[in-house]
Amino acid sequence: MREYRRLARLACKGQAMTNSYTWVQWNSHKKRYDTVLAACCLLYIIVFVGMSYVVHQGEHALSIMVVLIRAFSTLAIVLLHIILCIGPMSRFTSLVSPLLYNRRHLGVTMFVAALIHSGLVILYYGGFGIRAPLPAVVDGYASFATISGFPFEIFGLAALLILFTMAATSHDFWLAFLSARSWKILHMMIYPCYGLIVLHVFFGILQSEQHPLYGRMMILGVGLVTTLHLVAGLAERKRDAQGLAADSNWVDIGEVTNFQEGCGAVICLRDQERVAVFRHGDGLSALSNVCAHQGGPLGEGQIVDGCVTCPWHGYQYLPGNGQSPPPYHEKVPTYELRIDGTRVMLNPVPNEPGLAVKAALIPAGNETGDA
Amino acid sequence: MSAIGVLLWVIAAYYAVGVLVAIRFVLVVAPRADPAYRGAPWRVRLLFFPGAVAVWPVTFRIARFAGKDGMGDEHES
Repeated sequence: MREYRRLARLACKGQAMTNSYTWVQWNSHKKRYDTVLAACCLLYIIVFVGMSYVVHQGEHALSIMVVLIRAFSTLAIVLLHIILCIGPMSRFTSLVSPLLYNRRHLGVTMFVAALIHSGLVILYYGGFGIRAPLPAVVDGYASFATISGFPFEIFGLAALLILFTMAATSHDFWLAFLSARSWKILHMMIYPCYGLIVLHVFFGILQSEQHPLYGRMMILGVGLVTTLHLVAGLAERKRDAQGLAADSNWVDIGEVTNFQEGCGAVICLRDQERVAVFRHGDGLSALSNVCAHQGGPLGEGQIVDGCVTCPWHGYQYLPGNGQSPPPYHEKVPTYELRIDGTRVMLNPVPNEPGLAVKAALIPAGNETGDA
Repeated sequence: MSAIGVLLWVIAAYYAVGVLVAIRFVLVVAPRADPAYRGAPWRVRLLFFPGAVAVWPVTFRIARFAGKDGMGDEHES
């Protein structure tokens, strides 16, 4: 896994950062990932259709259109659950790194599955009447007074529009244009979208389907997503609460020998942004732990070719000034460090992004932190 | 017309305006605002069109801001 992350970083170097735009920022890893993803989706559809014919026979037999509608909807829901679980799981294991690294591709695939589901629904249920297909589906048999007659399609439509917005703005161009903060807020819409999809399922298929499998799977999924987010959130909160108190000018962040050559270390400061500290040669440098690209944890990355490299998408920064090497323009805040004897001291006040700071030189005899 | 019918018309109107704003955005605004965009081939620029339709109030606001304050020049420096 560590090897994968190293190769992924090297492979995406020079492609992930925003100097020019390409259709899809493919590299050998992403191509392999997308091929596997497409194969898995196709396999899922084939297995779902096959299983449906086995389970629903005789008078319960379903038409191929209904089976496909269900196949693509469940595929989208499975992908959505994977997407939502990646973030919290990455807090506990690096096994999900390949998924985290390619989460946007997973998201766009999920949108395509949801779009095919919607297209099939509109074609099958609304395509042959005298009304326009979409109003016929969404408004056709609406009855707000009953649960079984509630127009659940409206939840699905709202979720689809959110997914469309997220997929359409998933390119790095939009990240640069909207700013990382706005882009992040926009893409946090995945959570309301998830809520809408749960409602869509509850008021839709769960009202008509007699088999308990769909209901159980949905409860399991919601429980898994909720539990993972709660556990990860509490763990992060505990980590921050145990962080160093930054109530003085300089904070003791540990022995010099604790910092390994070329590797990052995340320093938690109470009520403040985390700091990434890197040892490079005989010096130590500190940057904000938050990557300017998508907020990736820089302190969990490494130094590659003399640059601090984000483990998520390979964005790079010079350790001395927090600036991306030319021709890129990304910057992160820097911090001052000094060494008192064998202890490393951090000034918890962040500098302006991109401000050059001298590395704290490690005294001779303290070079035992090699990786 | 039912409440859902009105809602569908509102959604349709939103995206119809979005298409108009997005055409200007892809042709005029984005090349001014982002130097990297200017070097992108046309098929890549078309990729940004759906996004401009989806978030047209934001792009419209940024376009107005760019027109007043010369945001494009700032980004070039």
